[in-house]
Amino acid sequence: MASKAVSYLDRGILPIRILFGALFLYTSLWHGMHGAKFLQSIRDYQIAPGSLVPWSGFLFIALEAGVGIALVFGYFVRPVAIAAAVLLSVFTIAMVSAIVRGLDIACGCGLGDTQVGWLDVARDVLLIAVALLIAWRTGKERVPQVQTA
Amino acid sequence: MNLAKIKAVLAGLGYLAIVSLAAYNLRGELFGSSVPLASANSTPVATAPVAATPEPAVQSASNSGSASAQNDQKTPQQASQPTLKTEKPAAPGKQASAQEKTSARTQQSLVPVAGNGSVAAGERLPNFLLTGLNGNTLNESTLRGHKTLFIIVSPTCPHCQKELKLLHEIQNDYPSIEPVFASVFPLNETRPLADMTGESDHIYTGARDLATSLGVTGVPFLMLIDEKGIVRAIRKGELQEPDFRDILGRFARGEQVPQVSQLRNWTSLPGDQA
Repeated sequence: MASKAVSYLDRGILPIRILFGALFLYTSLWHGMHGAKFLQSIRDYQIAPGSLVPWSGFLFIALEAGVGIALVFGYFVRPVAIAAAVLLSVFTIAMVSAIVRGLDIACGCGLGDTQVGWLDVARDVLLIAVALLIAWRTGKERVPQVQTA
Repeated sequence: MNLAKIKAVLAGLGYLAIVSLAAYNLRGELFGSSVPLASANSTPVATAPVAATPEPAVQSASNSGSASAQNDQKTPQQASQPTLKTEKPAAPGKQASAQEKTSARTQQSLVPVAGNGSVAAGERLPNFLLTGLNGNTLNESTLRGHKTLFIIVSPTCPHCQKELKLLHEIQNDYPSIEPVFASVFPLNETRPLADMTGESDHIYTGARDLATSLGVTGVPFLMLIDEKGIVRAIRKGELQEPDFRDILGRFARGEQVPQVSQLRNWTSLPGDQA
């Protein structure tokens, strides 16, 4: 039963990987297009020193774009998926820290840009799980076998 | 060219496109902000001359109200400061002061200007023109030379009304800080705010464009601006009296004001998403 589930999972890992990469591509594009807003969000978190905010924002966008491209096109999938999980973990820690400090700030995620809350944290945790799943099952994808007589 | 090469080229071009877009949109922040906050704090640059602003400075036509009070603090020489173009070669005895002025201008022009949807501590406001309830006007250059408590408000925002009432009561305790309440609504719609709060001298109208340029999505939006016109702290949302006294006291004493975002008790501006 379990092996059957894993088998189905392995068949679905390719579209999952592409969708996951596309999500990163979309957010990097959104952050790139709304640079000032994104930097303001980083400032609002009050974690990075003011002078580092522009370059850390640029680095985040470059990393997001790199992860997105690599996952969509299938380059270095396992290390890139792990990098995506690390990147998402950084975002998650920042969000938890903002919530704990009572900061009522915009998420800055590029996905609706809502006030940061536990729902965003839950979404990021889910995405981390997806990234780890991609890293785990990469190389084990199965394509539907063509039955031959 | 085989499929793998096409894929690689597409991936590379896509990556370059996104990174270039980000670099282009952030170019001002990445390459333009060259004055570290510490040096801006410690440099003894007094009132920066109007001519130092890189944008065309709007000369204040204010003759009454708080703007005139602000102008009163300037010497006649400062008030009639020549523009950069009319600068004459300095006499030998005045060379040092000319150098100081040039240095002050350089310092001022290096300070990043807020706008394009954001404002942060360490930046100065873009040029703007507000009109007071008494018809007096206020622009970016008239903020220089004294500490300013600059709050963007809306007359329909209950938090702003409470904040203005409170400030009206306590502002005399901080005589070194000039309050400016910039309403995003036009004059006729802002006047009730003066009736409600008892405050009229420091209320200005027509701040909608400024608010948009600073990316302000809700009010009250508070900025503490130092004598050099540089934003030193930003607070979003209504503050209670102890918090207000704390930050105003620190600001008046020239101490660091903690940067804390506070979006509670905050009213979203119409047409914007908070």
